[in-house]
Amino acid sequence: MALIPNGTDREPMRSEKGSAAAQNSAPAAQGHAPMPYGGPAVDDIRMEEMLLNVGPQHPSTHGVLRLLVRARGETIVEADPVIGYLHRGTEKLAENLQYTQIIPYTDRLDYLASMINNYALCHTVETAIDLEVPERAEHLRVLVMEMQRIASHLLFIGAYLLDLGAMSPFLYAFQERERIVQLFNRICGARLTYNYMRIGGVKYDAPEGWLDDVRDFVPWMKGKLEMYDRLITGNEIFLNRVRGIGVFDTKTALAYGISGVNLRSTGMRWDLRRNRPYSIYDRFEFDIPVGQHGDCFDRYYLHLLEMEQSLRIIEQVLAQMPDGPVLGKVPKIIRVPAGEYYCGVEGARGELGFYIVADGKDKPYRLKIRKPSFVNLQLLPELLRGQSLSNLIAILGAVDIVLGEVDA
Amino acid sequence: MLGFLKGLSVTMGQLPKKKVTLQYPEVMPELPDRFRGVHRFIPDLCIVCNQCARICPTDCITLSGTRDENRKMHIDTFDINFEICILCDLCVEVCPTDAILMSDTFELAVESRDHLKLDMQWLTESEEEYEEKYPDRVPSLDAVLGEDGAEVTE
Amino acid sequence: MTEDRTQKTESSPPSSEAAVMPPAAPGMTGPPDAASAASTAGSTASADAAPEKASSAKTSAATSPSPAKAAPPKKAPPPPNPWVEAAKAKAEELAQALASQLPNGWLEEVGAVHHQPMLRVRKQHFPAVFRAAHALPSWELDYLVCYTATDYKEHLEVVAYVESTKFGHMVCIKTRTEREAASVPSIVSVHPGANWEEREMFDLFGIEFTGHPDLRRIMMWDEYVGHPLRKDFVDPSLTEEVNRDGADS
Ligand code: SF4
Ligand code: SF4
Repeated sequence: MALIPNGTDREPMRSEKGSAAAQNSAPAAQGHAPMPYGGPAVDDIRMEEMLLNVGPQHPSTHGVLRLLVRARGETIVEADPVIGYLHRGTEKLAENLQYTQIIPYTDRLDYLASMINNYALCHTVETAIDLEVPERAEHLRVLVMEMQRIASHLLFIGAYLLDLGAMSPFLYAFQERERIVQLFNRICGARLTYNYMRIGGVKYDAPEGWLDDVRDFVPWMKGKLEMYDRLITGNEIFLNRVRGIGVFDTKTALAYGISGVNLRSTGMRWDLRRNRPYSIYDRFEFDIPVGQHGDCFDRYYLHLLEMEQSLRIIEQVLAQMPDGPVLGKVPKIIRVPAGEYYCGVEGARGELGFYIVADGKDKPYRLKIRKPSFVNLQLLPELLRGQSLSNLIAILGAVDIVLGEVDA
Repeated sequence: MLGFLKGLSVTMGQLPKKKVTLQYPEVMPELPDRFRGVHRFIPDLCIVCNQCARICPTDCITLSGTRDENRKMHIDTFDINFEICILCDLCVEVCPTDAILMSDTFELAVESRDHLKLDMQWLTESEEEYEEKYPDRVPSLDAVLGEDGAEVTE
Repeated sequence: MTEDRTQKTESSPPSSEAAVMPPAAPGMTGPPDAASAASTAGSTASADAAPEKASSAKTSAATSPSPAKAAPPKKAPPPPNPWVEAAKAKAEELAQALASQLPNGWLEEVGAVHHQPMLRVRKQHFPAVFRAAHALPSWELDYLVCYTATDYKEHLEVVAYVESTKFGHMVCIKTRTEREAASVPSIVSVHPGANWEEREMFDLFGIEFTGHPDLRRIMMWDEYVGHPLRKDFVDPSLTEEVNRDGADS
């Protein structure tokens, strides 16, 4: 057993604290309605608390997330996410790596949105050393980041629908995503771990014909978004599954530090591309769609709407794309002056930030990654409390986490 | 019910369309020239500057070289440990003579870990294979050597 | 709502957010010293480029008012950066606003971290500062952005960036604790979202967060010994005989 070391008891709910809570919540079971089909009366059923282990190899937990669920009948009394199975100690590793060498490691955080991770690190270092990035590089960056956002959101929609039992949207989503991945493959030579950005620019200029292919991609993708709308949004089965579950409000979201789509679904118009403008986002016109109810449906639908906005940005970038170099004047060995720097960008899942403590050397003294998935996941126990077990996957899926990022 | 039927119509619409999947082992995917697969190595170009080993974030390159009578460095051993290589491309980026490059081989499954310690011979073969496969993508070695032979001195 | 907020930011003194905008912005709204410095910088270095730069808001371009000679240097090492000065002024402002609600001696240092205002507080008052800053009218630092710790060999420092979603201020609040038996009062009661971050710090730095509702390891397993992100940490697998190819690999 490599994942759970021998003799490990990672089941906090078995602790005294857990059982005390169990006793407290016992009266809640009395409130159950009698069963409709004339079974034994509720009082006669032996209502025992059950400890249910979901994951870490459960396909619907999107990676190696383990959920310890204490359930009373069908109702979740308490859920406790157990994480760390994918912990690679990126922050520690980074302390021994030059700034450029850290970039490939950021690919592996949120592996569905590597481009944005790349950018977040480069942006932080560039801010720290006051480096100017050439215009074309900045445009290319925004271009790939928005394409990445689409790819990531597509995967969310596909995987979410798969969690809820719909097979075909998953396959469609991969088909669409494949086109983006192929484009990325052509520009940077990898399909998942791009390592495309560099401090001061990007690694490669777009190859011949690439920009034209992106130009073709945009209207095609718009058609596809309409298709998704038709395929999923109106589907009654889907709506019944996701409407009104996993609800939280803006206040809770802010208290928990929730960001990204999860925050916007509560009606809060908060997008770092607008609220803390970075890169060249202030030159583009785009809307920030927000939800109304803060439920799972809103989160699903916002993903769809955001893709549309990303396409809008891509169109504008393509129209403005200047010529010129793609890498600025960067010292051969990048040394960041002593100090502390924090920059957050709007990742596909929320605010992705890098906090660097530099001591003037070519390696960071300390690097902290503000991981949106990690922060967002904290809300999950709150959302699950009192819900029926069958809603577990629907709620978990909508929070949209990537375990590579949660565990870092 | 209407939304459900609408969705179904999308699914039905897919039926007559062409398959998008690839019959993988028989049909290989087409990979762009920037694709980062397993490395290939051209020993004649290497000047043993050690830059690739130094930039490698996972420390998976080990190399050694000797100085010949003309005071030129020659590579003796060049090993990449593919257990830990993350195919990040940084070694290729820093190599001043493009002695280390990346091929389009992405199939890395082996039966034993030892097979992942790739030595110079393997890497050179990888280069030969690549040249055979994409003659248009590789500049002829003589041309490169001619340029660099004059240029590359310690 | 976004639009509202942007306007508010413009009329208020330059926030941290404004601080990453181009020199033109503080020239208009900033405190006098920052304004003069920025305008000098603009006239010497980026006057011609200013209009385009202003729209581009590229941080790197904007944050380099390098030849600003006019601003009176408060700190010894040059150059006196108008952004840093503005951030310091802002930190002072916040410190004064908070002072009435906190017991004496709560504050240890007022300054700037890069271009953000920074307050370093006594650790006993750490949660109280967050609570006060959360409630403070016209600041309302309600959003915990980044919360972490750093091992500075002599001491551990806990750093939190809090932001006001209403006014756009971003402030860095720090505290220090000794390395032996490190402990800091938890801020979970103010920012529930600090829960896991504190668990992570407990796990990886060994900082005890007193008052935390559920302090246990989060990344490493419970039996794990040591705190990997401390600078003196040595990976036991590097010193002990570990069978790397064995069944437990
Ligand atoms: S690709 Fe990256 S990890 Fe692999 S050998 Fe080159 S530098 Fe090292
Ligand atoms: S960087 Fe290139 S030339 Fe230098 S040692 Fe490596 S392979 Fe040889």
